[in-house]
Parts: sequence; structure tokens; C-alpha cells
Amino acid sequence: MNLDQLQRVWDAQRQSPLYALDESALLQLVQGRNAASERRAITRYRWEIALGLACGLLMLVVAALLAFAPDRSGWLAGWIRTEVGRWEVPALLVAGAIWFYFAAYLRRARHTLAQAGETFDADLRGEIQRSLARLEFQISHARSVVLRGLVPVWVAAGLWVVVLFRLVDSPPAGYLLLATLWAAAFVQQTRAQLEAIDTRYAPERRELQSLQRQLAEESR
Amino acid sequence: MALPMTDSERLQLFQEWLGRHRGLIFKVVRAHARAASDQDDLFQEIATQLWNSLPRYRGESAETTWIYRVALNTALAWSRRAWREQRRSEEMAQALPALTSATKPDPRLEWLYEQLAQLESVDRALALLLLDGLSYREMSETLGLSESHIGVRLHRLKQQLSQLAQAHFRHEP
Repeated sequence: MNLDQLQRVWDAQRQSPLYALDESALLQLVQGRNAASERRAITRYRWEIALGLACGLLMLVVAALLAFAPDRSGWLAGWIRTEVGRWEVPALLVAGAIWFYFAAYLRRARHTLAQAGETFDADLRGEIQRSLARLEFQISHARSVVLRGLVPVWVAAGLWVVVLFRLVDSPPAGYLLLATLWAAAFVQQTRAQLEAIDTRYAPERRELQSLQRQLAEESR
Repeated sequence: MALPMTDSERLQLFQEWLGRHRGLIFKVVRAHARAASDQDDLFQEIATQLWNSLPRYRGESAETTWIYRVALNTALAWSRRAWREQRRSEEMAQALPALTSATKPDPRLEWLYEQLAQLESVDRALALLLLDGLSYREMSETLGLSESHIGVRLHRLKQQLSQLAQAHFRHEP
């Protein structure tokens, strides 16, 4: 075959649609991806909820120890170097409450995510709509979690570390380092949440919407 | 200077051009993206870019040349960015039985697209323009290269494609 023959092959291309959809294969694909995506999201929520509960409990236990064992008996004696003031116990109680709020917030999000896909049919179109509904929720959650989840948690974790630094009598440089690290970590976490929308959820949504359009064209 | 146009004129021109030059865009898309989902994504991106660039069309070059320029530049930018989503594309490519060719594919054409996809980006664009019958001057306008440079590259490209085709299809009449 020479260039002229290649040219004829090239010229013979038809401007017809490039692809047809095999609906049953596509249904399996979308179902599989739906299930994997849901598993990942639920597992992540479980870990984050467990983290929220564990941190909340830790704050309460330490607050109770500081409140009811101010004589520094037992293990407390090893690391507390200053007097326990008026604000440490309330600060830890507030921090604990915030962690519990965070766990409750995520539990509600998990519940909403599970509900988001409940009302659709079990066919291909239904599966695509289910995926889209879940993605819409994940996108709106990724946007709102910064203000409703990350900011409170950062306040709680900040309170915990400040109390800890105060009790071990950390030098001022320690607080400065902490503030820098805290700000950097917050910016990084916020960016990661927002980037997930552009790099994960939005491409997936585009892909599903394109499949939806192709299906609509096929059925015309 | 851009041509002044109202929104409805813009929409009408966009629809006309997209309808008339859909084949051209498909060729650029197929030469740059292999997986069906990627091809779909790139097609949409080119269409979007075409819509956004329409007000800047000055009528100085033929519409085919101008659309080629928009399509090739968009495809190039898309290819650079595509590695980020490569994992997703591979995932979709594994599930390709769901997206099958609407018409029985010509294996020679498939082979040709595979060869195009393996070329370096400028050579790929040149090969596309060559196969679509554009003149050296139109290629020069589209890609911003001198005609003499295009001549040299095309000479090498033609030899390369000829040798590959002869080696691959040597048992065919």
C-alpha cells in the first residue's frame, strides 16, 4: 500500500456517528463504578466519623482529668508543668463538642449520600441518574464541608493544641510554629477539597452527562 | 479586527460550521484521543473553544483553515493536560465493549489513526492537514510554520508513512 492508497482510505471516511452504545455492557460498567464509588465514600465517612468521636472523647476525658484531678496525681504529673487555669477545661469541653458535631455532620452527609441514589430505576438510565445525583451531592458537600466541617474542626484541634502547649509550658516560638503549621495545613486541606471537584467529580459528571446525551440520541 | 456579530448570528454560524466541519473535527479528535470517552471529551472541548473563539474570527483566512487552527490548538492543549486524567481513561478503555464503533471500522483507517496518534504533535497536525488536502500556504497559516519548514517536514513524513504502510500491508494487493 502506498500513500495514494492511504489517501483514498482517508477520504472514504464517513461523517457518521463514531460510536454505538452496548447498553447492557454499559449498565454493568456504570453499576460497577457506582458500587466502587459508594464503597469508597462510605469507608471514608466511617473513618472520619470514628476520628470525630475518638477526638471528642479524648477532649472530654482530658477535660475531666484536669477538672477532677487538679492535684496532678498519676500520669498527669509527668507532663503538666503549669497550674491549670480557668479556661483550659471549658476550652477542651468546647473542642470535644465540636468534634462530636463534626461526627454528627458527617453521619448526616453519609445518610444523605445513601438517599441521593434511592429513587432511580435499576436500568442504565436510572444508574446514570443515580451516579449523577450522588456526584451532585459530593460536589456540594466538598464545597460546604470547608465552612461547616473543616473550620470547626480546625478550631477544635487548635484549642486542643493550645491547651496542651500551655500545660507543658511551651516557649513562644512553639506557638509561632504551631500557628504557621496550622495555617498551612488549613490552606492545603481546603485546596484539596476544592481540587477534588475539578479533578475528580466534574470530569466524572461530564463523562456521565455525555453518556446520557448519547443514550438520548440513540433512542431518538 | 474581529467581525461584529450578535448572539443569534454567532449561534447560527456556530451551528452551520459545526455541521459542515464535523468530519474535520472528528479527524483531529481521533488522531489525538484513543478511548471513546476521551474522544467525546475532546470533541466537546473543541466545540466549546470554537464557540468561544468565534467572535475573534476576522475572516482573513478560510474557515477550514481557521477551524483547523482552533481544533489543533485545543487538541494539543488537551493532550498536555490529559495525563492527569489518564487513569480514568484507562479505566474507561477497559470497559470499551460498551462503546462500539457505529459502523464496521476499516482496519486500514484504524491503522492510519494509530500511526497518527504515535507521531509527535506538530508532525501529527501536519499529517492530518496533508491527508485533508490543505496547501502548504494553508498549513503555514494554521500552524504558524514557514512553508519551507513544512516542506522539509512533510517530505520526511511522507517517506515515514509510506515505509510503515508498505511494511504493514505488504501482503495486500
